[in-house]
Amino acid sequence: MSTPSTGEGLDTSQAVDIELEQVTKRFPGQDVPAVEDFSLSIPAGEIVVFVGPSGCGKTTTMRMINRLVRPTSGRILIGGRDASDIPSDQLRRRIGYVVQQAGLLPHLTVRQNLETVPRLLKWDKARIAERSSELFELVGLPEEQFAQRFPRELSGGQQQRVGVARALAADPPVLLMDEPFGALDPITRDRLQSELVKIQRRVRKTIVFVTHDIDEAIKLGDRVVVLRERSRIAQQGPPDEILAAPADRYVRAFIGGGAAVKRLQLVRVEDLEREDYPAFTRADGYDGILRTLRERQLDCSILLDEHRRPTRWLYRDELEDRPAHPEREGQAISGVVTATTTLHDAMNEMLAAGTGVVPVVDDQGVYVGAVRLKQVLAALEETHVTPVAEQSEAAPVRTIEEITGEIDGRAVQAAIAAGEEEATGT
Amino acid sequence: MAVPPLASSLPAYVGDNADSIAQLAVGHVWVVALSMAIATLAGVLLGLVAYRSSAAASVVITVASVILTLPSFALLGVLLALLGLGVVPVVIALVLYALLPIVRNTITGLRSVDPVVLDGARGIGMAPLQRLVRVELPIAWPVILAGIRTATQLVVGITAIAAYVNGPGLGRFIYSGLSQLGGANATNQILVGTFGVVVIALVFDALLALVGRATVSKGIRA
Repeated sequence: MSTPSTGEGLDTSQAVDIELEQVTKRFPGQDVPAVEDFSLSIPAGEIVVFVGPSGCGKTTTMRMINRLVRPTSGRILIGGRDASDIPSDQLRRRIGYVVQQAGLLPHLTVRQNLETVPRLLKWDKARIAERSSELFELVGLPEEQFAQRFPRELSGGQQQRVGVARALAADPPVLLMDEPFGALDPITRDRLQSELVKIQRRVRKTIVFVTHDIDEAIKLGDRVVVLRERSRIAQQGPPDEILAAPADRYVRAFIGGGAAVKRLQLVRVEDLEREDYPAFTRADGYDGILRTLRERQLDCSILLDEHRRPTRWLYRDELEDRPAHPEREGQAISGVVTATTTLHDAMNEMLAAGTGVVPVVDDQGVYVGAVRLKQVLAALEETHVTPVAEQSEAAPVRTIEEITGEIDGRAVQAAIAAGEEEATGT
Repeated sequence: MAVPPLASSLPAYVGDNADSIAQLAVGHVWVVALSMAIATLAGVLLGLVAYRSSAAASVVITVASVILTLPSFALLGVLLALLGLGVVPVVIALVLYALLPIVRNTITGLRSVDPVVLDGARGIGMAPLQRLVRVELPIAWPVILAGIRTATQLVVGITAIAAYVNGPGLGRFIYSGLSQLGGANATNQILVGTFGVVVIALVFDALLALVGRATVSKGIRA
């Protein structure tokens, strides 16, 4: 499923490849280098994730690309040009940069924050205004509602959306992201991750993403680089390859248990056939809803609002009791998924809702179908079909109950956190 | 037996002496405004010079705090002994005094800017001067302005004391009243001087509060 392409102007800057050649960083007064002899080719237009424990030098490695840290030795080529030949501030204006707490300028409005880099680049007013509108749309924040707000009036997730938009403002060919979602609650983090994938399909930047969370790395990376101390590369490759064949004990330990479940991070909702799951509006009336549920032997269904956005779960047993106000029955729908949501996150939403079903919506929030737990379990079976010898050693295959039980706890926590996010949000 | 001179009522006294009250009040305001303008400029500049080095910053802050605890009357005496009498020495003394809270708050404000925000500003390609002017100063501004307000209150009060050593301002009424205590209109003089100083202090503070409303971003207002 593709997103509506409204921003032709977004693709003006071609992504470029990045080449790190034997890069070393030695901080004064430290015996051991922070980064030692690091070489890597990052292909244009891909998301490369540096993942490793804290203190392994992954952030330092990334910060050398935009020269926030100067390499002690080695070369960094961006689109074939030696980064040290470009004045640092000029270089940084052409490289988007996103940090953990978004790092927005607190005294400026959201609009002013978005306009900072285009202003530094001396764009004309009309172009800046046009670009800002595109950015609001790109990261899913209504312009009229958010433009004049200040960062502290936004939730953490909204701030980080602005952070991503600001990094993309001048349409840079390269984006550096330093644990951008690390401080967010799990549900918000999952949603922003899915959205980053969606945005990346539109803008096709070369993205270097730093995280200590292997799940995040697997979910986002076209290529994952597992780092150990001094930023030495333990293994690099596509995420499924790393999950299937960890290079050594270190990587295996870092991946941790539940490799099979982790592979659910590699399958997205769009990869499944969407079920024709019944959803109703109030216009369908009560009897109509009940009849369909009986015919199809379903226990619950989805109530849509006038814009066909999912609003509530309706339960058959409650409807059977003929309540006076069916629209007040059931339970508010807390989570929906989009095409780019991974099955792992979709499963979380299902377990949080307790219905074993999650509605799928498009970019406007309009209902397009649903995914059911049994589909996810089927996909889980499929990913099991290709086990690799080492995998059983790394993570003994577990029963579905064990696996889902483990996730259930996380889902409950996530649901609680989501409630808080809503409270602090708009 | 001498007939005690007839004391007039406070309103009558103010009416009779409106000209000299106005003149001294204007002189008071003028001295405060001049001293504060110089002190603000110099204080912020000094703060900018010192804030990046934590050693310099802590020395300046410590010195400023110690001096601020000294009684202003004593300090004024010492300064005037060195500088001589008259308007210029008084202004110099007032500037020196007003510098302290301004320098202190400038340094405190600039050093309390969130490093994440600064790293972000650097990461998007703001040059050092752009970071200072567009990021650090605006974020530190409420704290700097608070220092200016504190300094203004101090200076309005100290200007009253400066009248004792021939400075301009409403302090003259207070001293003249105190020196003729028991005499006709002594109480009136003291009341006019004191209330005048209080009114000037309140007006300055209100003006600075308005400046704050107009210049501090809503995004960082407390």
